[in-house]
Amino acid sequence: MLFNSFQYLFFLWTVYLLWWTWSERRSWRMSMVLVASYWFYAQADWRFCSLLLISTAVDFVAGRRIAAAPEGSGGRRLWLWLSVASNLGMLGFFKYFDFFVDGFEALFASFGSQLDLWHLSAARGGPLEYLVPAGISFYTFQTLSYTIDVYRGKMQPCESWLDFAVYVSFFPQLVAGPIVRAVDFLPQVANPAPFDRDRVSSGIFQILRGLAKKLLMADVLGVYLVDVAFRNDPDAGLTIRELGGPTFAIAVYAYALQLYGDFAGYSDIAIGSARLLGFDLRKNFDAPFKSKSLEEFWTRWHISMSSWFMDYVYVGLGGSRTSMLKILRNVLVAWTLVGLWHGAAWTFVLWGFYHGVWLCLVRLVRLALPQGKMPKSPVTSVLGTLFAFHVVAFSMIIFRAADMGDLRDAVAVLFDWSVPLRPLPTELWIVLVVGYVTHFLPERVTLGLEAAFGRLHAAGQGLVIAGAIGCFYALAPPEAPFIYFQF
Amino acid sequence: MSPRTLIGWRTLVVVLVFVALEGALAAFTGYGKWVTTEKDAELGWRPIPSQTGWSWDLSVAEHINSRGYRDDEWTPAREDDGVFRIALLGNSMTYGSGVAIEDTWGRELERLVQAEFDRSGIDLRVESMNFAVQGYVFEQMARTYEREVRPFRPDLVLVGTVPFDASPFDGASGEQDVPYRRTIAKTASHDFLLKVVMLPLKGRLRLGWSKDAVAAEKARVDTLIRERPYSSDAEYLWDAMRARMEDIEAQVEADGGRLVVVALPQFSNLVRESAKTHAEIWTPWAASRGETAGVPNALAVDSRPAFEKAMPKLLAGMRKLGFKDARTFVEDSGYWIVTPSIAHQDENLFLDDDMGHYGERGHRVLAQDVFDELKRSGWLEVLARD
Repeated sequence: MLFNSFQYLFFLWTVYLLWWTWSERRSWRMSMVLVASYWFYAQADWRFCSLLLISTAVDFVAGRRIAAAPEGSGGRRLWLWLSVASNLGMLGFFKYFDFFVDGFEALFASFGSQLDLWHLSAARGGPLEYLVPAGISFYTFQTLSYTIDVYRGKMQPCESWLDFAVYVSFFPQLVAGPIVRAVDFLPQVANPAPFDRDRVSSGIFQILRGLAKKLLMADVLGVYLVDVAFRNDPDAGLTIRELGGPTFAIAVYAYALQLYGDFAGYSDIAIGSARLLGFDLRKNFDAPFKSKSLEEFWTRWHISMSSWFMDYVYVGLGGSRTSMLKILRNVLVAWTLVGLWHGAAWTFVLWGFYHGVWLCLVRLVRLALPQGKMPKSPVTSVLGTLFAFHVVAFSMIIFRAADMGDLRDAVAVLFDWSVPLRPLPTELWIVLVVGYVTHFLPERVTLGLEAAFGRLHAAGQGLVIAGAIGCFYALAPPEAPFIYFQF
Repeated sequence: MSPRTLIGWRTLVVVLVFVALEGALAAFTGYGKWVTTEKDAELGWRPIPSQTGWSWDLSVAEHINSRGYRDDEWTPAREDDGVFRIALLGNSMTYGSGVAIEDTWGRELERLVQAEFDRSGIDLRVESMNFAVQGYVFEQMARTYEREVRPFRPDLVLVGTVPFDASPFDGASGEQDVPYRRTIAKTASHDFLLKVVMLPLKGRLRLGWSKDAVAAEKARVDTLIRERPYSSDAEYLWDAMRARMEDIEAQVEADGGRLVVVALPQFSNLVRESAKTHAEIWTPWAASRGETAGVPNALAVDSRPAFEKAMPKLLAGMRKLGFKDARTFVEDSGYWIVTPSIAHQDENLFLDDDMGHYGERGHRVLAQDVFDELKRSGWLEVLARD
């Protein structure tokens, strides 16, 4: 069930009504949200509800056992490793099996041997084909953060199985994040917030904003420009190389905006949906292209994922409290894993590694600067923003490329400006320009709009909602799934 | 304000807005009442049977009979039932887009033949059967003949054809071409937004310089047919169509009927004074089918001269505008509107706001031309006697 469907609208409306109808009966409303979340998840493939259940059961038990075991005991470590192994095992099996099968086969082939691993590779139509459970990268990391936090003593284990199951399966963020920390979420489950009109208005506004980002910006640019430019299929009439550098460069700028609109839009809808039920989820995107440095970018883009890797991988490897060489190693390892988390393909690994290398270079350059930082001035701010944006935009070519061949073509065409810019419809230019302009507007503009929406009478808000639905229905291209669903 | 009251207000207003929009559009426009089609494994698509609705441009009401064709109910075929059946196959030009069914060339021909029979004392009731469907290419017409027309054993089978009919039939891409056919929501609001916003926007946003594989191949064939239909490159399309036409002709003849290929004049062709027409394909083809007792076995009708004769001044004026304009009209697949400001607009045989289809006069001129040709060939007498 996609967030941008009428089905979800009715689903959310029903859950909202039941949630607030049973505001005095905590266990009823939690049970209802749990059932609704599993139903929501089952729409993709009901069989994978079992994985959700396993993840919930293992981590619920592991959390309690870790807390019950004496500090420093082997039992604590055992239960932690059981949680890590079960979550990463599920993730590895369902998401990376084919990737590793291909890797092993390639390795053997390089030694002149032939290895055929049980014909299970998806590429060969084996039994695992198409079996990637939706959202598995998100909920496994979410439950892992719980057991690790309990192990580190940052939080007490959850006493209620129901509360914990709601935390793992909460439908707004189940399929594509944000990756919610138990330490933030479980207290809200234990003590649900009372009804607050402003919060509801804010939730609706957030949902509409997310839909606009997704449907009017990401999908329009994606369907009508990016998909065409990146198709690189000689049978389709136009390859990337034939497209020419200027047009492809515009398509890359469009893709940067598409990716942002798609995922930030999803996050907005998730956060807004949760807010309708009184839950506060942390911001997942914070106008990332405004970043004045690459490091800042990663504090504004997919915040819940980047902070997860910082807290549980980078810090786990030793973080920044070690020698410069080890810091650089930690950065490279953490960001290569970030790449791998996004998908079982070498292009994603390269994408993560590319970011790791740039982050290392930035650190090294900073060492050479007086006081270890860039001097602050409007010029350095603008240059820093342009630099960070273009490093990121270029990385998106790697992110999008279907394979290394496509990537080679894409990089080559960026330096080939012999083909002039191909004509683009005015409407696409408008979406592109308006998309970037609104992105760089000060946050107070959005807050002002949200406040103005909040001040409207509920009937007035109804008119705005009706108008927005009409616009989305009429202007959005045919159904385009969320890009981050594949992760 | 309670949570339920709060959401209740919003829900109420959203519902009211959409109900009001739906109600207003349904009450004051034809939206939501389009004649719609359904998928058909063999034919690609076909009108849903037994429906009455509006044409896509909301200009005329259309009725689809219980067999799924734009016509009245037909008399079941029986031996010697005293009915002379004229079956028409074709696309929107024979379907009669933009005109009432009574004004289509099929109906007009029915009246002309009936009058001729009455004059000659032949006691037969003439019944035209319009099997044309919008957007069909010849392969779809041929399949329609085999599945739907043949059981009626018509005396005459007329195929109204244009060069585009030589395009290969691909159900999927054919459906992409006519998105309105997928209108399933059947709400006035959806239809309104589809026509006023969605399709125009989709058309504007489509990048002219790139197409997917299916669309690219289709565009190649379309360009070939439009720009060089009689070149050697396009010969393979005509060969395939000719072979299929022979196949259909054999079946028609086996059932005791006769096949007529009507080379329909198109405005985009008429504005080019010296342009070849597809009649030059079908006239020799019909001649090659031979004769029986001095009567040709197949007939091809070239109505271009009749159209040129009926709209000489308008065509001369249009030709002065130059080929570029006509080309633009064809390439955009849009509507080249003939406004009153254009001299001799009253001669126009096409719809003023849709030069791709005939107006009532155009249907009449065409029917008369086909009738004259039938009479000249001696077929009417032979078939009526048989």
